[in-house]
Amino acid sequence: MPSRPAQEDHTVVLNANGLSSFYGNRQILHDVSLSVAQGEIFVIMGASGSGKTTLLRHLIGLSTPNAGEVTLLGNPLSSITKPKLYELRKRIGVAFQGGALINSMSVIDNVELPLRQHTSLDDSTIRIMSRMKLDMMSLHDTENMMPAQLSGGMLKRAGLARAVVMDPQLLFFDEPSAGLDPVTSAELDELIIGLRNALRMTVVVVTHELESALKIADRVMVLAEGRIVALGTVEEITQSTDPRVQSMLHRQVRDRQPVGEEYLDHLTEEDDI
Amino acid sequence: MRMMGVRLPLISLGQTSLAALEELGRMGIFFAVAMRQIFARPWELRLILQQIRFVGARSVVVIAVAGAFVGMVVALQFYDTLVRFGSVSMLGSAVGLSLVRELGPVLTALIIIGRAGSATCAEIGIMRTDNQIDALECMAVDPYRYLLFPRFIAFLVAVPLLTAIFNVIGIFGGWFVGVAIFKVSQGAYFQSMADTVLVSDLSMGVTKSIVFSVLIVWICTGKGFLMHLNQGMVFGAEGVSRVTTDAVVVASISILFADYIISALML
Repeated sequence: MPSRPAQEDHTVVLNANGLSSFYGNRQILHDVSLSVAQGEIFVIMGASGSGKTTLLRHLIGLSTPNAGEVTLLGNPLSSITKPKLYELRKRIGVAFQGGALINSMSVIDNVELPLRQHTSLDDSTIRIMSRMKLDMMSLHDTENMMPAQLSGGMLKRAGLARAVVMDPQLLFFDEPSAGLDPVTSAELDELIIGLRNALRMTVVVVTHELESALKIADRVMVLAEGRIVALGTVEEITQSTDPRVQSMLHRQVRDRQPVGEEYLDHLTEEDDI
Repeated sequence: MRMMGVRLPLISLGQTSLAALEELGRMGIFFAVAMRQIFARPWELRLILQQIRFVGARSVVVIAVAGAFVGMVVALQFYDTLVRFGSVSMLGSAVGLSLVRELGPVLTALIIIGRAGSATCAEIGIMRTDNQIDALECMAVDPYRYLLFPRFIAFLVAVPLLTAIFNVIGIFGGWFVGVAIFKVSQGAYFQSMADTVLVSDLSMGVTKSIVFSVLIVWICTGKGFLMHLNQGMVFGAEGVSRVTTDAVVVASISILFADYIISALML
């Protein structure tokens, strides 16, 4: 079990209040609120379709919720201007599910991109800094490869290297273990814990992998159909009596089949325009 | 229920019109934001050059071959017509005018749509579906400045130059058919061209190629960049292929439409 340093300060770095979001007429998020403290590993868990990706996009300001407010490093996102948002984003890192490396650039060029865009460091310094991050992800021999030549796990790690190359205060990681073998997935978990312990980075992880979530998290939020069903420390979550949390913990199949009349209505339903 | 027969087509007409209007609005805003990057710093010179190489240098051979054959067939057709009136000495004038004013800009634009426009649209569409554009946003790199503006400049520089290459090679293609094969006098071929192709004809050709380059890059990048907002959009490979086809069709039609408008205004 990796050590979990006691949280010395409780500065809130990320806060969401009453987020609701719609896709067409379908409501994706129902009144979701959360708050993440400096140095914490916060895991947002949920099955696919639970709204966790939508929530993540709201948290990093890629899309605006229909209601509610996100405050990122003390800045409310609803009223922020584009230049200020960009300034803010230099202090956060986002690792996307598939890495999202720019496919026309080599791995090292991808990792160097934020440094080249936002700092005036000379080429050799930029190279050294990027190599350090790639080494951290054990990717030193891939630096001249193109993204298309990498495996899924490597892409994910390269994406992580790029996300942390500016040493962000806050790191978001979308589905670190999706589609990875157990060993690679465990390595990524260690990396996340290492980043927090070594650099005191705050990490927000979105995942559907129970095992990884329970291993790395300080606190877990469980989302189901756009609603928070549980929020607390790992111990609190594992002891929760909520049936939805229990079914997730024990990998039970969701009972979705409507019964009797309801099912008949569903089958005979007509599109009423 | 009985009303459905009338209502359904009306509803779908309304929905289609609204969607089209919505897309037009989005594309308009997209264009304005992309053009505003002229004032954004720094200009990504390396990326601009890379794009000019892709759109321009890599298209030169196709444009040259196409220009040669178009010039040859135009000379062939005009020769066949002019010889009936005994005015083959006007061949150079006919070839020059039709290439400079009409065929050069239009055919170059259509070839560039097929060669570079479709590739650009697909590339940006893939970047959109693969979250690469979101990743740029998250790295505080403005995709308009970093991704789109270099392409706007590249098309704006490359298409008029390629048009010029097309015209020059086309004129020599015409020379080959007229002078080398049908023995029209070389002096007459070039003199009649010099006498009748005026600066106003050249400026019409240049205007067209500039307008076309803007239309191509606007439609091809815009369709790819905004593909996630399309109604009933499809993700992944199918979405990209649809949006690319769409971009090629819309860009080609817009060019033919704009061609008529510019000709009508400038003639």
